[in-house]
Order: sequence, then structure tokens, then C-alpha cells
Amino acid sequence: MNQFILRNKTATREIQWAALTPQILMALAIPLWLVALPQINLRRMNDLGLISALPSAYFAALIFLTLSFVLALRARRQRQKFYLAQIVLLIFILFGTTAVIEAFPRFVTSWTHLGFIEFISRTGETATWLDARFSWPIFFSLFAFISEVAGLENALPFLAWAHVYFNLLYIGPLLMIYRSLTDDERLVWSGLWLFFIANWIGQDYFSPQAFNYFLYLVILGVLLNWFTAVPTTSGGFLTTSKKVIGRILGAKAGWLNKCVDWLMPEPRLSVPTRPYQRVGLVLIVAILFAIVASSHQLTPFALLGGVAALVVFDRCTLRSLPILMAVMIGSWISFMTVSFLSGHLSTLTGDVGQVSGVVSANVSSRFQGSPEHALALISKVVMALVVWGLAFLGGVRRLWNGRRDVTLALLAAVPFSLIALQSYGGEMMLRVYLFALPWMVFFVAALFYPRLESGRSWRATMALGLMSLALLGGFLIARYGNERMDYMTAGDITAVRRLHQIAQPGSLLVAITSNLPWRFQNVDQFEYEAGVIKSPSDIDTLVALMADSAYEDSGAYLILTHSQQAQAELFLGWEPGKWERVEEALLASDKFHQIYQNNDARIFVLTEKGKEAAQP
Amino acid sequence: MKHFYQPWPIVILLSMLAVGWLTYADSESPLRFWLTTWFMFVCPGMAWVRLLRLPESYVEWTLGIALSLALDAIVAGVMLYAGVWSPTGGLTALLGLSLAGVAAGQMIAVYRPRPQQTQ
Repeated sequence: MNQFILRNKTATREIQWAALTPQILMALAIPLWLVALPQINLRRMNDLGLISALPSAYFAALIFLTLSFVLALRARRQRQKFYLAQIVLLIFILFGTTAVIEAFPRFVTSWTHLGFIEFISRTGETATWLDARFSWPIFFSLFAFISEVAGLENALPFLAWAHVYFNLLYIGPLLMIYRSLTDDERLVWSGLWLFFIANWIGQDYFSPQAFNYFLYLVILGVLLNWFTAVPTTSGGFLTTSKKVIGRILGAKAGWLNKCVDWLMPEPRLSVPTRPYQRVGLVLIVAILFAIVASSHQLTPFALLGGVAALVVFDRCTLRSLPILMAVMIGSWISFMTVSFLSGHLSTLTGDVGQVSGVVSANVSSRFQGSPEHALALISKVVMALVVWGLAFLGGVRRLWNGRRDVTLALLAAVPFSLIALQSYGGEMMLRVYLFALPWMVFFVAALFYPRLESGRSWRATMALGLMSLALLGGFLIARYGNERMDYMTAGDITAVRRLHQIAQPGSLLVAITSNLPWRFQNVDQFEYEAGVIKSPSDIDTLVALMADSAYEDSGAYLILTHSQQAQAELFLGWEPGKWERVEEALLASDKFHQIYQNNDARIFVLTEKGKEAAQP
Repeated sequence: MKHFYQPWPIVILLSMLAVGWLTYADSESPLRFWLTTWFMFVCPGMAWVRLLRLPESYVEWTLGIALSLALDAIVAGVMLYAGVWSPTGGLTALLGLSLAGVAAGQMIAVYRPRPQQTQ
């Protein structure tokens, strides 16, 4: 008897320890990450990016957290607060590391956005003549407003942690979306987990895209929760087409009717609402979409496509919403972007229908630079194909188990139609991946949890864990493969600030590549020129440009920074040593005079001889 | 009047007072950044979203933040396109919107028909 009690106690203790394993693993991941942070030496990065400078403790933290997550999912008792804590920690480790270790916010474009915000704060106006993005200025005016009310000199404090807070913001609408699709909490949380480890796109920096992506998710979350059609009462496209087919074909319409029946929405318990709630939610959707239409070029079309697909396939009861959205988009483009469109209409419409050209501009033309960097670029394509491939398999498995996820499949497919619009500066494939991601990762998660009662085996747990680790490895290479050039050193920033102190309004600012944060303030007061030099022998072209009489009074300045060198070597195929040869040629030339130098940057002006040499 | 003593209306009113005071007095306190960010990211939207009595708090938070940012953006956009850029004026509008939301909540709480108590 005593032996039996003893054995029972031991077993209970073992079960308790087993139940605590996820917590222990997560508790170990936190100090491992914190220990890793000071060991990261960004100067040691090679062309593979951040992953080459990460210490083993960082990888250990990710492994422990992944094990903790998959083990927690396996438990019978669902601990939602614990899952949430794990996801928050994952976001900090994946997206917050650079914010902690880098002295200044990364990524040149976020500095450019800082300059746009500074312009609005200073002038209270937009500058559509300066940049296309000023035709959709609401994001910039929003942060100009918040910064000024907060008593800030500029919006810089919002930049560094943008990756973290935008990803944290995505948790809420993703939970809304996934809970509208399934009752299985493991599927909900594994979908969320996979969303963040597959979100290598890097579109969560301080930008209108990151902000609008949040609104995109919220709008679709509201529609999927409160405005889904009930099949028996729907009078939409599918029901109408079924009636029409029946009238035309009569008894022969059997198989066609079966197809339409198969596409009908599955009966589901929608969240109960009262009329005042529905009115309020419709108003919120309309307000949010008004902001989307006025603050980003692409997201309104992605949303319009998604909502139109939901309406056409009887999955949304707000049947006039796509019309309202189209009117809002059309009104904004027609009335508020005229000055931009008048000079750029051919640029905008030139790619319409050119699918192969867009794919080429987005994929093949990007594979340039050193072999390590080519690997980082290839990893992006591989990550996209792997996620889409796994999503396909997950969808097939759900179908095999009797689930018709037409809603999800529609929302995953619609972003691909954006390819037919234009190349979006060579970034359209990235945006397609981004807009399709929430739906794709849900299918990927469904690969492991196809039914409520499945997925508790060790095999499923191991498979999810191993796949998560593989995706995390791909994430680190694909997302941070350009970190050598995205990382802004203190020297880069100090030199640019010095340049702004020296240069008079109207000056010409010249750089070898455009990858430097030189548009962070007074963006309207200077002329910018980049890409003039391809080799040390091009210095005379540079002299001719800088000696232009238009800048005789204001002056012309050449700035070289570490971030430009990184871009030249990563993307322009400059071999090691070429940058230094250009610097030496400039220093040796009697046409240039160096007026500023630090460890990462130099500023040059023309000497009198340089100015004279350029005279005709 | 039970609704009045629920935390959100009080939190929103206190946030309004704090942000209004810090901004109009042009305070240089580091608190100003955090309180302003809190107010502008959460309060105006939450004041209105709470009227919908949504079942889950995470949904309230999500919609509250989204609506707050949208209302901030509308105020900023109106100032920008109307040529009257005035951050303090814009803040006054947001304080008014938040107050209206809180007041509407209280009105609903006071005048809403109460369910009859069963013996």
C-alpha cells in the first residue's frame, strides 16, 4: 500500500515537472537572449548579414523558446496568457535585438520618413512636388501631430522600436481573425507563432505600410467576426448564380449546382451582435478604410480585392462595402494626388498586365553582389516558396479532414492579383507575400492541427518544433541579410548631421549610392544626387556635376559613408578594396578637399582648381 | 450610475487632464512623451469603442487602438489640408472627442432600460 502511494506521489511529481517544462524553458530563454545582446559585434558582420555576428547564446534562446512553445501547445490545458507571453518574447528576440544593439535606428527609408514628418511639422503642408509619398501623407501628418503634442524635436524616438511595436500591434487583429476561423486554440496560437517567424519581409519599419498593415488586419478581423454571411440567408453572388444556372440548365445543372454548393460558406457560429453594435462596427471599418485610402498607395487595393472576393463568394454581408471602398480610393486618387499623377501616370500604368516583367523586376534582377549576399537573397525566395508550399499541404490536409476553407483560400489568393497592377519599385512580390501571410501561415499551422482532436502526438510536436527552427534560421538570413547596409553607425549619422550644419539651403549633396540617412531633415532645401561614380576613374564626372554654376553660391558637397560602402559591395558588385581606392583617389586629387572625417564617413568639397577644371 | 465607476471612463478622463496640462503648459517633463503616446494611441478610440460593449477585452483593445490612431490621423489630416496646422488645436479636438465618448457612455448607462429583476 505504502509502495503504491509512494509510486503515485513520484508520478504526480513527474507530471508536475513535465507541466512546468515550458515555463522553465521560457525562463531560460530570457537570460540567454540578454546574455547574447552585448556579445553581438556588428562590425564582424559579413555579407550574410546579422546572422554572421550572432553568438550561440542567441540561437540557444530561440531554441529554448521554440521548445517551450511546442511543449506548451501539446499540453491538454490551454494557457492563453502563457502563449501570449511566449509570442511577445519571440517578437522582442526577433525584432527587438537590432533596436537594443544598434545606437541609431536602422534602415535608410525610415530616416527619409522622419524627414517627411519634419517637413510637415515645420511647414504644416504637404510637398507633392518633392516625393510621391506626399500624395498619401496621412501617416506622416499623424506622427508629426503626435510628436509635436509629445513635445519632441522630431519623431526619432518612434523609429528604433517600430519593428517591435508594429508586430505587437498585429497580435490583436490576428487573434480576431484566427478565432473567427477555428475553435482550436492550438491552431490559433501556432498560426500566430508562425506568422512572426515567417514575417521576414521587413515591412514593419517606421512606415505607412506597417501602419496600414495593422489597419488591413483589423478591417478583415471585424468583417470575418461580425459580418460573415449565413449560407441559408445569403442572397449574394453564389446563391443568385445557382438560381440562374437552375433556370437555364434545368435538370442538367446538377454538377454545376454541386460546385456552387461546395463553394457556399460553411455554417458557423458568428459572434452575436445587436443593431447598434453592427452600426458602430461598420462606422469603424469605414473610418479605418478612409485612413488606409489616404495614407498608402497599395494597401487600399489589397483590401478592396479581399473584401470584394468575400462579397462575391457570399462571405460578407456588407455587400456595398467594396463599392464604398472603390469610391474612397477613386476620390482620393482623383482629387488629392493630381499633382503627382500628372507627371507620373505612365510610370503607374506602364506595368499593368506585365506580369512576367513585374516578376523579373522583383526576383531575378535582385540577385546581385557577393556569393554570401546572393545566398541571403536566395533565402528570401526559398522562404516564400517553403511557406507557400507548406500552406498548400496544410490546405490539402484540412480538405482531407472535411474542412472547406474557401474564405481563407480567397484571402490568400487575392494578393497575387496585385502582380498584374505594377512592379511597385521592384517590391511587389514582397508585398504579395506580406498580404497573403496571415492566411498562408494559418494553413501551415493546420498541417499539424487539422482537427480538434489531432496533433497531440510527439511526432506532431517534434515536426512543428523542427519546422519552426528551420523557419527561424531562414528568417534570420532572409530578414537581416542586408543588415550591413541597413545598420546606421554613429559615424554615418554624425557625418550627415555635420553635413546639414555646413550646407547652405540650395546646396547640392552628392553620394556614391543613395543608402545614407541624408533626408532626415530639411528635405526640401537640398538637391540630392547619387550613383554618379561607378569606379575611381569617374571622378571627373563628379567634378563636372559639383562645379555646376547652379550651386556656385550655395555649394556642393560629396559625402561618403559606411552605409553606402555596404550597399555598393552588396548590391552593385563592388569588389573589396574598390571603395577604398575611390577614397584614396579623392584624397589624392587636387580637385577635392576633405572638410570632415570620422571612422565611418568623409565629406568633400571641390577645391578652386576643381571648380576651374570644370569650366568650359 | 454603476457604469461611471468602471475604470475606463476614469482612466480616460485622468489621461485627458494629464496630457492637456502637460501640453498646454508646454512641460519638458519626460512623462509628457509617455503620457501623450498613451493618450493618443489608446484613449480617443477606447472612449467610443467601449460603447459597443464588445465581448472580449483584447478585441476592445485592438479596435480602441486602431480607432484612436484613425481619429488622430483624421484630425492631423484636416489640419494639414485645411492649412491650419496647430498641434495644440488638434489636441483640443481629440480631448473633445474623448470627452464626448465618455459622456455618451455615461448617458447610455443612465438612460438604458434596466433588465427587470426576477424574484
